[in-house]
Amino acid sequence: MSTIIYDTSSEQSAINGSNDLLEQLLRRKDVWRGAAVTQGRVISSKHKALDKLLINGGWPVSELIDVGQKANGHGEWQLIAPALASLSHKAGLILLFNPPAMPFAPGLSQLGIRCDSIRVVRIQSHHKKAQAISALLDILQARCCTAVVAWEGKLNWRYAELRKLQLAASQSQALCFCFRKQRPAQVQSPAPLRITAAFSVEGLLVHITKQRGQQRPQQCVLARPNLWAPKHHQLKPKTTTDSSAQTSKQLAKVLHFNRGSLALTPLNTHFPQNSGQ
Amino acid sequence: MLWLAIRFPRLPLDVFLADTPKDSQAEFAHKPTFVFNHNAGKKSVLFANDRALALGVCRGMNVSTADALLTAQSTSLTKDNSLFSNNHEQPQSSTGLDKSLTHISLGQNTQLEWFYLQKFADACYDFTPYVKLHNTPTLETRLHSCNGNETLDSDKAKQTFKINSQSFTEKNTDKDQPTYLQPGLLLEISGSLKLFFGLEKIKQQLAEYFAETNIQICFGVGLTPESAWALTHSHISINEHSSIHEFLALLNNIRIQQLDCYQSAFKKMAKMGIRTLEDVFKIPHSELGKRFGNGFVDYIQQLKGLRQNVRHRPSENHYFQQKRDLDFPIQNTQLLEHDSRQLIQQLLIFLKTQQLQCEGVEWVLGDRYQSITIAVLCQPIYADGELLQELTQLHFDHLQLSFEVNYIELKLTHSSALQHSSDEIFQYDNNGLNKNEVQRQWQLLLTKLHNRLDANAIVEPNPQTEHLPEQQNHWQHSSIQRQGSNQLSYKKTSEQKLKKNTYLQQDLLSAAHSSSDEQAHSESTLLSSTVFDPKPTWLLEPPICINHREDQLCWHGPLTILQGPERIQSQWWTNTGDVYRDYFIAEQNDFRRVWIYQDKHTQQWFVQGIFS
Repeated sequence: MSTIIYDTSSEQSAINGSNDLLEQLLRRKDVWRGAAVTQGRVISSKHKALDKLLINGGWPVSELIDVGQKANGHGEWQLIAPALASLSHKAGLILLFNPPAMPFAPGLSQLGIRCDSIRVVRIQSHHKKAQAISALLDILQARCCTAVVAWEGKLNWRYAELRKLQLAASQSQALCFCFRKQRPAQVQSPAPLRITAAFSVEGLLVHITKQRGQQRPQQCVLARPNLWAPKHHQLKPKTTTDSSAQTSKQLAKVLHFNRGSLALTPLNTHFPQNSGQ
Repeated sequence: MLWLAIRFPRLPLDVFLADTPKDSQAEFAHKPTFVFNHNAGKKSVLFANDRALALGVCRGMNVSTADALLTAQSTSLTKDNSLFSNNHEQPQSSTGLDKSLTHISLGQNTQLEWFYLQKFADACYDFTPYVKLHNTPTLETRLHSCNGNETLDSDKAKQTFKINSQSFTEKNTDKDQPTYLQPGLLLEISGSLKLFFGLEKIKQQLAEYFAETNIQICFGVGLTPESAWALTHSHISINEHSSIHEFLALLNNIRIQQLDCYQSAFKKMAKMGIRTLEDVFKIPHSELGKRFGNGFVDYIQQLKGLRQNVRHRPSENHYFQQKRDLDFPIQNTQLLEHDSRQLIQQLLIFLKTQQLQCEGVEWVLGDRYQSITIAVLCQPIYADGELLQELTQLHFDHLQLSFEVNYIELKLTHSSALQHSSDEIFQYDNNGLNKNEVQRQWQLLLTKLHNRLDANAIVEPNPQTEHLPEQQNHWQHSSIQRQGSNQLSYKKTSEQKLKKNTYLQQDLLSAAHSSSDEQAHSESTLLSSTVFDPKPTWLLEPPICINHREDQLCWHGPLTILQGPERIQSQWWTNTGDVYRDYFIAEQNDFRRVWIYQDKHTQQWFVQGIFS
């Protein structure tokens, strides 16, 4: 913090100088200003329900977004794919850091993401934690990324390390997601936006535990992509319309695992196209 | 093509003059001076200045005879090769010239000739990239490298210089009396005429340069290197606007005795009464071929400009190696930063002067008995020393030295010619990025990640048109691009793959449309299943085997099948056996959805993907 020195001989200039300093300080996004919300650049999440809850109406750019999950596979792509799909069509790369598995390119393409803009950085067992953190900082500082999606995995980031990531993210021009194992809300995180995501009966339940300008926690449910909806909804008339959980149970009855019953249904079979050889 | 030949008629003598301070150069002019060389154990005069020639010294004369002749004019002290050492070092400064000497005799210094030839070639490089040395003297001893920083073996030096050197054909078949061939330079200047405002301006600038260095030159201009060299013996020169007839007219007047190649052939012709090239041109090529071989006919054709050799851009060996002795022994690598920075600065200067870009360096840290080598690979660096410093520091940080380092050495191991690339200046998005900028920044990041993690840690998609998911989902290692060629190839392959995928879809579409009505339904179903069947976002490699208890599949809890099957049958044409799978989408108790399949051969179930 700069010190403002008042000099009686040049009081006016000192006041002007102090105004400049104050303006500089107020321009910073990390200065808390009570209920007032700093206008920052955002990218729409393309989920209407979520955009309504997010301050400024989208994912904040140049901020670390801390996403807690019970386990991997709880809707990370459903949450971020629409935003990444729009970014993947711009100049810039999407970097996946230490993902839990390899992304499946056809699956991502179905979600609208251009796969040639994706790069994956794999952290292996022989890499040290410091190396991994430094590599992630390099990635956040690079000017070629439009989005950086990092998974904590076994790295177990401490608060100080997350703080480093937040500082690096604030210097970048990218959308920065950090997927971690879900922790209690009392465990602090330096990320300005902190959410949890988990699949539920209705869809993906997103819980916003912390964001700048937010008074109390909020939550919303994001429906699963239509693409992933079972086709049997169209094939079989629905018997109940109460909830998708009941639908699943019904389907489970219809397609109850039976070796004899699985060796049929030629309608959906997929044969190689060059089988005419 | 237009070639400019520069011949140095008395280079062995002129190099001594050029290497002498100006205040002592008058001594050479006023005193009889000659240069001798060793031929078959005999010392004979190679060149003599005007004063010596006036006193009767001639080329080929025995040195003793020349000495005696000059001494006879006045009492003299023969100082055979004592004034300028012939032990392959730079000649002494003429400030030590003995004023009492009546004449000066000098041993030929090929090392010095090479040094000046290379210097002249570098000067000519300002005018054209196509510069060749011609009739270079035989190098026998150690000499200095181009930049004069260090001494190289003669073999290495020969190798270095040989690239630029050229000789047309077999020069001299008379082995008993090897003839001295005057060295020179050949410049292809057709592309430089506009830039330098014409041939005359180029010649004028070159003439001024050589006049400053006191080197005698003869210019020749021709359509081929051979004709240009031959025309250095003509007093009249053609220019860029001359017609082919004027060019041939000049060549016709060249006397065959002046040509320095195929001398035995020309001697035979002289005995037959042939004097000039005009006479030679009148003889049918078939006759010339019968008597003197096809090589000679080729040479004659090249003289007439009927045949051109392939023009090669000269490639050069660039060598940078600098060493710094440390002030005190160091074991903490962080203390090496200052010295490494200094060496990088020297490397940057070298890169700038040689118009190179660095793609990899090698650091050597050592003491008297041991040393370790650290290789640093990077994307092409031209002026960005900070990146190289950062990468170096990154390697040094992970280094555990078991001994105290006394010196640090930097070698340039990977380099390429500087690539100037154009860039778009208007098409930037909100982030200030465009494709080229992204590519450049990505290469920078990739270099850091390669050095920080390893080259296998970063992958990019390389989708394959296969049926099996594990084969479709192919990821290749991201590699640092060298000289921009990889970028092109990657772009091409991506485009090809894209086209291939498009073709596949077009095939599917055409198949669906061209099929008969009865088949249309099944074909369109096939298409829709190919394109629209939901695919997971994560792929597990290898697929995880799952258990089933009675009629219930279990993987992290029971699984409920929601959709399927989607059958994939493939690889039946290979020897490894066909693959026959039924894929299903199943849901776990915590509502996560997974992609499972049953191998129809083994009836075993696997999880292969996760819908996240």
